[in-house]
Amino acid sequence: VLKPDGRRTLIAAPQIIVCLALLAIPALFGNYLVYVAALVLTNAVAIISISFLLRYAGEVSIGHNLFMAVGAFSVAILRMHFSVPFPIDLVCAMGFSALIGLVVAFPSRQLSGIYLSVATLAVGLTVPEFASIVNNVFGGSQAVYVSLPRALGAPPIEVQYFVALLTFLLVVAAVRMFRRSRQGLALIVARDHGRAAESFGVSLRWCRLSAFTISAAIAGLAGGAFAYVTQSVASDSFTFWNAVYLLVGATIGLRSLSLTGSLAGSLFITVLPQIFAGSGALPPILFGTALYLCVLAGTHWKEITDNLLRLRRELRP
Amino acid sequence: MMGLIWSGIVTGALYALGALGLVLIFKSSKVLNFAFGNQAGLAAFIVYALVDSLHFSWGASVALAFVASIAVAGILCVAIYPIALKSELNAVIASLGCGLVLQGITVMLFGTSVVSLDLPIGQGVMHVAGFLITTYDVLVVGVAIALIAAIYLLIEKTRLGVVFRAVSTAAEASRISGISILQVHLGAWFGAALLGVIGALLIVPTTYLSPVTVPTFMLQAFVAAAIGGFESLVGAVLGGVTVGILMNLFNYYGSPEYTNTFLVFVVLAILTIFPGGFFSPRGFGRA
Repeated sequence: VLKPDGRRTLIAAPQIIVCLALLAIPALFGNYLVYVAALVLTNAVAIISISFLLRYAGEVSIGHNLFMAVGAFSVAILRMHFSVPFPIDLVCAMGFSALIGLVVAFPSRQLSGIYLSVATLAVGLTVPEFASIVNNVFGGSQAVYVSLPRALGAPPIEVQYFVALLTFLLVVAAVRMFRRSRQGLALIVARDHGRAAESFGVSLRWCRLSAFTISAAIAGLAGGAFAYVTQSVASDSFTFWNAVYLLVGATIGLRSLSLTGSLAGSLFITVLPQIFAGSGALPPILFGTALYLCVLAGTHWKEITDNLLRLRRELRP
Repeated sequence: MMGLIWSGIVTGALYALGALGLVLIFKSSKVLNFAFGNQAGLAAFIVYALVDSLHFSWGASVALAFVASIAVAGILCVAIYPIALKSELNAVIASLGCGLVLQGITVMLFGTSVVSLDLPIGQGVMHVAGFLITTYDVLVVGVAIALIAAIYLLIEKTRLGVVFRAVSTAAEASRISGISILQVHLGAWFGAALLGVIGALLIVPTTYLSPVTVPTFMLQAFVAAAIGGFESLVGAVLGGVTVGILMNLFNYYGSPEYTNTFLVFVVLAILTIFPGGFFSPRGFGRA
């Protein structure tokens, strides 16, 4: 549950420290680690899109891999074939994925819970077909390459990193401001007290539609930043399991939309597969266990703390 | 055209088996079990390992796979049970977590190898009314009809079925009447696991066996179950056959490259008209 607004300032001390640390990363580490850090940042943006949907609509999506793919392919195609310059291509990527999100959300505006989850599952399965449509229209084989903007003679790895960092910080700031906006409040009222929201003139269907579309837009932005970081875009990067991993990250980050929460979730899902790169079996087992334990802890928090307190009382002489 | 519909029915029967398992679980414990495909895939690999490496007979291997998958289903059921009591959506997430763990275990035990696993039946072909029917087709449809009939009779005509329906419609009231809810849940999960194993063994001959084939196939069963409505066993069968026939027709008349995109339109269209599937609880709640 979100805290009341009054106590929050726009930026607090821990956030400033994390921001400074993020800014310093390219100067401190070698190319590989900076690359991993950039991946962590883009995944954090994608995780925010999942957490956003969980928080503002209470819905689980396992199809956000499509919106990421739309964003990534948009950036790749716009840069390659239309020479669209840096910030504009990301904005377009966001626009396209929001549009696709709207197309998906409009017919499913009456759906909720598991029916919506299965609808998003079906949507996510279309990624390879979407990629082949893109390849048919624009030519090209499996992967589309992304050229980097030449910025002030900076080395490519720094350009990759700072595009990801800029996207991440802007999304965090925008989501934070959204929480205080009229629309944000309307979504929260609609989620918690549907009837009350309707009596205030808030349309529940509109809320579902807007929450899903915004979430899709954020995922598209994540996909665009991902295209910059990896520099080649192929449908293999956006499978059903990638969508599930994002859900793992969102759950581990306690569905947090904040700087630190989304980074924590993203660190988990990005760094673990890098560490266990040799074994295809360990990351899914660790992810699955962590996901299960987080949900169990989340639903039974009171029981767990009560039992721990009782245990402490009994252990005390 | 008839041939297309027939082969659609064969595929649809497989989706229907999967969807039936999902609905059995959902009706009893209100969990949409995303680990289902991984459970079935693991069982198929167990059969493969026993038949191919240890040279067990088919019957013994399948029996052992049944035992193993019932054990796995029991663990999952007990693991997800406390979460499902609190929130449907959290149970979905927890079952995805369990699915990931099973996926990892499958890869750990059997590697990412791609193998083929055929049923011990002949390659017979019959000509009926101008189109081809293979032994495999007959087996799939026969097994599906037999299982569906068995489940129908079990739920509609036996005391066990009455208990299942009672828990499904009013869990709290049945608990007060002295029914052990967890036992009924376990029973439904066991039944679903058996359906999953049989479904997986029938699916694998059409493609090949890798850690992802069976789970991927089962994802379509989720769509079938959603179309039919998660509350309805009849809906699961109808949804499965509908998905099978529509996808087959589209593959022939449309373009097979875009089957999944077509499926999204079908799902969204059907769920727009029937937001709770064909058989939403308000209409035909019972079976």
